[in-house]
Amino acid sequence: MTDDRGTLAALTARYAAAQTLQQLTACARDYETAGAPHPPSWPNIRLALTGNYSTQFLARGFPVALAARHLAAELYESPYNQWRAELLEPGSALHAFAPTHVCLALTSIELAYGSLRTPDAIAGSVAAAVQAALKTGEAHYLITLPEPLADELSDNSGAYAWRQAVCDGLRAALAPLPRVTLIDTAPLMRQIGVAAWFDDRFYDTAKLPFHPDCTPAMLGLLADALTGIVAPRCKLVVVDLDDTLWGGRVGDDGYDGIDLDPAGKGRHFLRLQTFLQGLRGKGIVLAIASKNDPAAAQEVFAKRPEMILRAEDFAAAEIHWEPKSSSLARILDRLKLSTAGVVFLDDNPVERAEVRRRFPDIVVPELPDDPAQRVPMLLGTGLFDHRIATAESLERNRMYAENDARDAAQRDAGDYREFLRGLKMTMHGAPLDAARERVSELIQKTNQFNLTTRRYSWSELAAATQGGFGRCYRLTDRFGDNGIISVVAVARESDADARIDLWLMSCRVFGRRVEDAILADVVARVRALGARRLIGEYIPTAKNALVRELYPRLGFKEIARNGASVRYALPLDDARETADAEFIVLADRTAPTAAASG
Amino acid sequence: MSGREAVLRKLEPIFRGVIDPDLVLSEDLDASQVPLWDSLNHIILVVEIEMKLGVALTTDELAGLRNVSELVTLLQEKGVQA
Repeated sequence: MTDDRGTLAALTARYAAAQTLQQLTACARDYETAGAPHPPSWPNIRLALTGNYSTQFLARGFPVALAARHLAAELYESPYNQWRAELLEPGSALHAFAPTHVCLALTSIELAYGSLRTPDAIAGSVAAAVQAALKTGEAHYLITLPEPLADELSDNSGAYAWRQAVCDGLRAALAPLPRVTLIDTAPLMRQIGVAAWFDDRFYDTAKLPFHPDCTPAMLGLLADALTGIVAPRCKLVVVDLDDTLWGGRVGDDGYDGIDLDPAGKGRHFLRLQTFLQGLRGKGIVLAIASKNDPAAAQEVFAKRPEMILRAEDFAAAEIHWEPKSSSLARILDRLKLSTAGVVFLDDNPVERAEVRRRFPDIVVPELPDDPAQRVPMLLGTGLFDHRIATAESLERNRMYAENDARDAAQRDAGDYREFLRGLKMTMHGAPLDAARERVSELIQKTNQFNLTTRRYSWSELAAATQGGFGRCYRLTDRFGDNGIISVVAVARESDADARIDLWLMSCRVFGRRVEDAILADVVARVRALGARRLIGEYIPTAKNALVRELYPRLGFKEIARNGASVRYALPLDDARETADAEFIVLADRTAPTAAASG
Repeated sequence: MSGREAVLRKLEPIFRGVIDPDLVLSEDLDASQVPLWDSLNHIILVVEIEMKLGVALTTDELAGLRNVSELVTLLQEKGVQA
């Protein structure tokens, strides 16, 4: 078995690298000679290959191509151009083989010049054959739509209109049928290039409608589609919201401030939405995992007409401030899905790492920072190409799903602490002057993690920190520099009391215990000033419910209430040290007194 | 080494890659004597010859070449040398 595994790995690597027909057939032959090794756990399919051109090269390559996709296959190949009789006759050799899957490979060349010719005759004939075949057995049918003809390149040619009519007719007749998947070969041909694709010599002598060296790519297309039916690589896409589904952060920018501008950068977010909508149309389930204020997020769906995806397009939505891995676990639990075939899209590398760490099986693409590059990148992964998940395949997936997700949902919080430790976070405190622009920007824009939401000008800020101090904090982690993420302004109220007049933080780093580390630094500095009590205020706004419970959680006690505003105090006389943050190193603990003027 | 011999030596690794790693190529060999030189492998041979020797064959040449001697002659005409 170990030997088999080594052989298999070597052969599938050769298959993956095969660019020419010679390389493909050589590794296909060696796979066969080795006895077609495969682990017993792989799904077994019985694949019948039929069509109107020479499919022998495809037939030779299929076993190793499917092995590379972790499928084991028994193969049957019809004689040349016998597809109609094979499908129509219940007693045909094809039906006698009892296939689980049938690949009907059709070329435009034979359809255009053979006996059928007109779009109506072609669509009618294919539809009749497939409908009859569906009644005969249980097989799933993969049918290639006729490829572009060389003559389409000429503007004056009727070939384009002909093929469109053929494809429209086939789609109308076949797309609604169960157990039928249509495969468009045109994108593959465009990708390979017309010059490399067409070679009449091989059609004339061998009934091969493309250059023989296009065989590996054509085989890949068919094998991918087949894999998509038997074992979809993607059945669920879980997507982040801020800076992923739209530009900006709704909690800070408001539903009307996020970027969905079709004439600007917002177009790239709309493009991702269109892409996801297309996946949904293929039967892939969508869900949301966002660290956000749920009401604000819902507002975008309700009030922004540019949104392509509607709230009801998502089968589940986890919108809160808990770790994304917990959100994923809940989504899987609710949808009764395993981690197989789950793709997680998030612009934030820290969130991606956190999900990867807890769920190594979930596919987490490295989404580019530039929104314009995201859809092309996702298309390039091949995760979604022609992988058309049918209702049946989703149902089947559901059955073996449950245990995985439950176990994951019950995993303890210790795992998350370890993740935080692994982030190797370092916080660098500095006087406010060290980053005036960024500090001003944060003061003007931050809505969610903002205890008092005082939109100070620079001079007001200086006045507010008279006798106290102001600090800004930069956070780095193993993924890089998050920049200035928090601002604190402390006012001296009396000899005994210092008050946190302003405390705000980018919600991007929320949930990472950064606030604990900041408080530890503030407490040390307030102590150094000689104060005996630290006062905190919470002034509620429409957007800062996130921090309503922050002070109680950090050990402050409520001392006064004025309307909805609450005043808290943390006694500093106690022997009790405020615990330093467990997960974060404070890099430059300059003597607190020295920074007091900052 | 004659010119024909030189072309033959260039063809041999191509035939070995497609048909049989132990094949010894000689001018008197034709497709009927080599079971694996079937119509499918013939296509692969043609593609490999075009790519590796930098020649282009016509449809008729491509279909007709079923023995090594004719192949060597044709390739010489097309300028394949040592």
